[in-house]
Amino acid sequence: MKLKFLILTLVFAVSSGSLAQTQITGTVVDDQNVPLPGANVLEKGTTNGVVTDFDGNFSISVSGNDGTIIVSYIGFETKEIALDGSSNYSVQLTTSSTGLDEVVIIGYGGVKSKDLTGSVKVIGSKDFNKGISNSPGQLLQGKIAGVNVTTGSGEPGSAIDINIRGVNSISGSSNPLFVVDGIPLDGGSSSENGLDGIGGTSRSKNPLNFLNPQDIESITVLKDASATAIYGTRAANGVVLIQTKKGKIGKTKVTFSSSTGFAKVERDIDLLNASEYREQTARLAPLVGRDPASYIDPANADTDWQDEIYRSAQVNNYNLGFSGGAGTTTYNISLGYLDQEGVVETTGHESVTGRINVGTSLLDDRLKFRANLTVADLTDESQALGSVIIGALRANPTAGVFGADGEPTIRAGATPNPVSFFDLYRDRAESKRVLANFTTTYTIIDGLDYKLNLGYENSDTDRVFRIFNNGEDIAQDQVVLDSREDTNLLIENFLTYTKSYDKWNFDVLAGHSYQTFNNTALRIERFDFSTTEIDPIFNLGVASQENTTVGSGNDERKLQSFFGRVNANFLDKYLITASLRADGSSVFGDNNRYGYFPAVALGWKISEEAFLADSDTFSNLKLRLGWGQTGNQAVPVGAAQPSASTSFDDSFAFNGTTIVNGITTSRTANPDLKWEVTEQFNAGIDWAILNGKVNGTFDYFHKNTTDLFLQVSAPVPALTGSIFVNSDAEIINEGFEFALNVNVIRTDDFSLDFSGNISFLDNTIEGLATDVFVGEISGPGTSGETSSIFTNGESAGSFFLPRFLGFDANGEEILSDEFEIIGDALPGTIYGFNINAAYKSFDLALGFNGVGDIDIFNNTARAYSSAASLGTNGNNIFREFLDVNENPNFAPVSSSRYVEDGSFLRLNNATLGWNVKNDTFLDTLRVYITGQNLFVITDYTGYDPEINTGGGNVYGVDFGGYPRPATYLLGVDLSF
Amino acid sequence: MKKHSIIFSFMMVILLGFQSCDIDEEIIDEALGDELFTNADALTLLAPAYNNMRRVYGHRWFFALQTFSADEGMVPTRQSDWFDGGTFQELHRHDWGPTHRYTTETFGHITAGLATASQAISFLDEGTQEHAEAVALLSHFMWVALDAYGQVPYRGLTDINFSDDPQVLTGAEALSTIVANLEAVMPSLPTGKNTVRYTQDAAKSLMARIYLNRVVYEDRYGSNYSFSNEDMQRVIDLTTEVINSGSHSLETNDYFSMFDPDNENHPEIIWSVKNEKTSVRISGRSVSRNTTNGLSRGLVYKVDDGWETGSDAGCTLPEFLDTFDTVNDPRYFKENYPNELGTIPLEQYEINRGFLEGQLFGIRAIDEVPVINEDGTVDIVPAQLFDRDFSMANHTRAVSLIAETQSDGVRVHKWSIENLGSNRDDTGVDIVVFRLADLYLMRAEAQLRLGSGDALSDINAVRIARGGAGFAKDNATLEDVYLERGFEFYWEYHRRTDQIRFETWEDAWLDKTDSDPNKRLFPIPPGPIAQTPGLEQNPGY
Repeated sequence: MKLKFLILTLVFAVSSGSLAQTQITGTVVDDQNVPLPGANVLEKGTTNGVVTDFDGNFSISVSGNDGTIIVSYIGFETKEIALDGSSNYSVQLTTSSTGLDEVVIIGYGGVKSKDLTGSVKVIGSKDFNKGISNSPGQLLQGKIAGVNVTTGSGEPGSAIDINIRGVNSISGSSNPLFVVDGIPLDGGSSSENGLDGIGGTSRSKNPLNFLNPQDIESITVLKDASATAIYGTRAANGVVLIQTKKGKIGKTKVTFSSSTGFAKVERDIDLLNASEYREQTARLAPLVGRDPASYIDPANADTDWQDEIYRSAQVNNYNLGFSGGAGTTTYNISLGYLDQEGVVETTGHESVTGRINVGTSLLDDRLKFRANLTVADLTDESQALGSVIIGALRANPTAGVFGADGEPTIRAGATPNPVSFFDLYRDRAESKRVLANFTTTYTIIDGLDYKLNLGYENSDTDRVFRIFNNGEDIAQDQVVLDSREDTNLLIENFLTYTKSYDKWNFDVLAGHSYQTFNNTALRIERFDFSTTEIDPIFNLGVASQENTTVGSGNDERKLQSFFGRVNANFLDKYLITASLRADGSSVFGDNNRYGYFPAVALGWKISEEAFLADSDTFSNLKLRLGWGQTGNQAVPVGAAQPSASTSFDDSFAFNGTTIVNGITTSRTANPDLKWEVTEQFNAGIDWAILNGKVNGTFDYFHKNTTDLFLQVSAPVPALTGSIFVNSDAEIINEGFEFALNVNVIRTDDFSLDFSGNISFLDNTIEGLATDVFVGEISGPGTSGETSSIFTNGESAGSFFLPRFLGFDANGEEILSDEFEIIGDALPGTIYGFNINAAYKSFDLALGFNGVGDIDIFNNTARAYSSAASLGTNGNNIFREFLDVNENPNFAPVSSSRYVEDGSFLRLNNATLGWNVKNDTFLDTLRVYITGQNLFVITDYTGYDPEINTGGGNVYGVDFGGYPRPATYLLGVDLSF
Repeated sequence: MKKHSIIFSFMMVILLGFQSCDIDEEIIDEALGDELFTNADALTLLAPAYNNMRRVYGHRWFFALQTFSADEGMVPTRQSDWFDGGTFQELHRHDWGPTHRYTTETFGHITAGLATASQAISFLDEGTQEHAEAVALLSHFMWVALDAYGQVPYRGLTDINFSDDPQVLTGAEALSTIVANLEAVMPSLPTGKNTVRYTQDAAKSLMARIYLNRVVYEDRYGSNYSFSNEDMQRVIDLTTEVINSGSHSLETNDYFSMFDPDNENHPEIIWSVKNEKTSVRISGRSVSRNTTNGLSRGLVYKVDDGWETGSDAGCTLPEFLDTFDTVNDPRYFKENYPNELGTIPLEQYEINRGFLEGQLFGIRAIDEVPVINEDGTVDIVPAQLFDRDFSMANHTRAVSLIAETQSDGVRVHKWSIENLGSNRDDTGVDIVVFRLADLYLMRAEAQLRLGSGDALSDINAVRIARGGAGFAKDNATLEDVYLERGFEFYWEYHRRTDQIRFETWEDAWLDKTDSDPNKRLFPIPPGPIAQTPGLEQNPGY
């Protein structure tokens, strides 16, 4: 019976085109009568739809004269037009610039923007940062109050730290949970362990590089606990929900976009040039008892080493896609290719991404299926960045790059020739990614939906490092394969029920989720190559068998959750949301298997009250209050259980050279181990005045993270030096966030919009039993020194060093007796603002962002920019750190001298576009130029103040950070 | 609607079917240890305890605490090198604090040693040799903790449970526990000669050392110590037992052979911490670093697959050198090749031993690679640093804590760096802990403190073994014992303990003026104090 009906429906749908048809035409314009290209026009009750062309015109065949068409466009109120028999319609859409009717994805469902009770921000694709982005984080930078996006360095594909409302953890990173089309990601990435003795292996690449920004429809950031608590133990750092693009019913739309351009380092570090170097070393030579001639390289060249390692790097990006829908099926298919050279020679990032999104519905729309498949192949070429970049900064400028044989020389003064690494060293990571999900929605009765969500994520990364011996200080060939595979499987069942009773509207959710994570690792290390004819990267077999080491590991995590949520509103004025999630994780101790994470929020739409309903001032005014608890389950696998093995690490040679491996207890169990708890209170106001032309939000939040994971000393004597505990310490983040949007001008030909946000954040640690020192300082004579501290009353990772007070008569540094807190590695202020203007068919978008009240520890300068380093070792020096009062016979001390103001204002993004009118088959044709990182205003002496080479729980440290180049792009987008 | 219900019910089954998903943690790539411990071979249980002794006796650990804080050694800051957060300056000036890196790390290794020995004790059968060795190793770790930190966290010998709070023993209680434990297992310890394993003679040597220092351990901050006759008699009895055991004999030919790579079972050594080139590396803290870190960057030395240079770190102090008879004392210097211009066969090149003073001569080398003549010889030329300040490797006695050049200060090449592996941490030199000369000098000291016995002949036994009959002394005082211990045991992990016992620890010496007796003990690191009930910070920190 059902089957017949289904077939009939299908036949009807397919054949509907041949029934009696009436052709109607029309134009869609906005409230300023500006035509809206790309608006959707749909015949109500059918799947028959078209999209307006560049001039806002549409033409559609409808079945009869008494139907209704629905016209919609993102950012505008959807309008229904009853057909009256005429053949031409002019449709004017009114802006909903506050997007109050847009459905916002909030995790396991959506809610209309106007009914939100939490602190949630959505950024649609049209508002993303333009240009080349490797990851979703970059699309958001500067766009959302309270969200600090810091790219680890300027290397293509580099790691990105996203801190939503501050840092919540002492022992780990504070990056949020990413959920792509309903699948919480594992976030695996390649290993960080490079080759022994080669400086500055870069941090792992960003695990989200596999998502092509072109495929992203919108990104929703859940900031407060009332919004995030539905994600339980993984939500303490906030949640980022990514929705990918779907097809729309209507004719097939083909899109093609391409951009090409180049990137350049526009901000070199100011070093001594060769003649200044000769002068300064001649001045210092007698002081250290060196012959002035000994500093001058036999080549007696005049080399700018920064010029030698940096290049103008090409970037090319292509995207091809088609989307559409027929009957009840929609599809969106895309292919992207990005080839991005790094500004350091030989480095680069290449990615191929493919995506299919298909949805269909059956049984009168009661049964819906949607499938997503994303595959990506990413190749990263990196370098011995420490040796190359820091090498270039300390290399002797009188040394030559190439010897008489045309090959790079081995040394450039006290450092190996940085250029020589381009041949000697290689660091190549190839990563294959698959993300698949399949959702089934079944409407059991009207309002009651059952949903099954199945997901699979796989990431397989092989990173190979290789170095050739150079016959001198690199004595041995070495190749290392570091292979990791991370798999995550998800099955989720949930029910949603929507019902209205009288003046009440309810939206109820109940569900269950089970997710498993499997991580495998393999590391092979070999030495001494039998041939250099082929690159051992591609055949580890050419290395000698001797001294080969092999290690592997495999760990599993399991997470089971039960969750529920009620959204209710009364009289469309009073809103309440309550949610609860129970998370049970295999990494928690036996005594604490399940954590419970409740949240509740209230909303009051004041503007709907009688006393404001007729207000000319407020078109929207809403008060939001929220409270909730969330968790962090970044417990290392197995931390709750003991571990013992027979190992070489605890071996002893009882007889002759024969080694007896010893039994090592490598972990002390803690069966009480559990999640960290972050309790957050949020109060916010959403407002709009002048008919929505000016609108904004204001939020205050107070977050308190307790039960912090800490690796503390085990009670001695203990078999392991440390044990994981939930300590009594807490981290408090408190702040204010403001966001403002203004439609300044909107006329037929010209429009000007401004949007901006600023947040103020205060981070404090309390209750730590012992200070936690992090951030090992790099450089000669610094072993065991750390730059940063977690200590009571100060913000996370503050710089803790002696204060530098100048030089005494002897030229020795005068330092405070005690170490002091001398800087804050986390920004006190984060801001961004955007200006969008359009004139006729031209548009201009400018995006600025910046941070204030932040410091950087310039570890590069600490290591090599001192009179001792220049005078004794002949290392070049940052001009800023050259001080004629400094005596080269005293060792430099890590101090406030190397802590610099890290605040900056950056023109992150500027795009000038031209929407070309044309009479060809093309629906749209757009040509644009984009500049990224066009300027940065800062006092920082290093390459770029937006830097963190530390990673993990270390913030604001720059040791040979890869410079962030300016990028210039020319692009074209077209569709038909 | 009925059909709907069926489908719905079916889906609910799926839904409920997952309600009981398993979330037990299953660790698939690591053993939890149950099987491992119950079926363990005795040596696999002992190995971690022995190996931890290598860590405790590591270069920047107990070695640095005993040597660089004392008047026999220092690591000056040299231009931009060796500042390392002030750690070495603080050791020298007696200005270290509770978070000093090497006092913290050494404490960590000692407590790890206590734990691994306790773990072995809990799984080994009482009455076996291995059980007795584990108790002896525990006792030795306890002694190091007592000597350097004054507090000994202890879990007993039976019913060891690492989740329980430990006892924290100090002073007399710690001392008597160590001695009682050693006496209890003495019969099960091996007799005779074996420098690798803890023998009865090693245990007796440790007891002698403890009794000799007992007054200090029981009254940490006292002065004008009066050594009890009872204790001194015990020292005499114990040392006499070992000396008369016939298992050991004084080296009479080459003093430095006791610190050579093949020093295992050397006749004079009673117990040493064994190293082999195949041993696991202890992260740059090997005994070879005692030498290579101080060696000039202008000298090359051979490793398995090439050449290395020193790194100009540690040196000795002028006042300490002034006590030596540099001409007649063979412990001061041993020539392997003449320190002058010349040409020698490459095979003959072996760096001279002892104190390396004045302008050094070494192999002519370019960019740290020796130039080998066609006939296989090498030219010996004045050594000059290959990098840094390119100073001549002229090791003057004059040095200061902030050294003017890389080369200031006389270097100490006591621990051999011959025959290192491809990594300069890989060495076969066993770290001598007890040797017969120490037993003789302990007995001499005890006799002098007791006021009876033939101390002179004990001192002369050692001196004659070193320098022949002509090197004997005519009379002996406590001062002579103190000096002799300096000549005999320099850079051998004794000096700090000796200086405290002889009450010279608070004296001033080069760039060191501190006289705070609290510095006789190192601070307990804050981490363990915060987590271990009973452990308290030592006074003055």
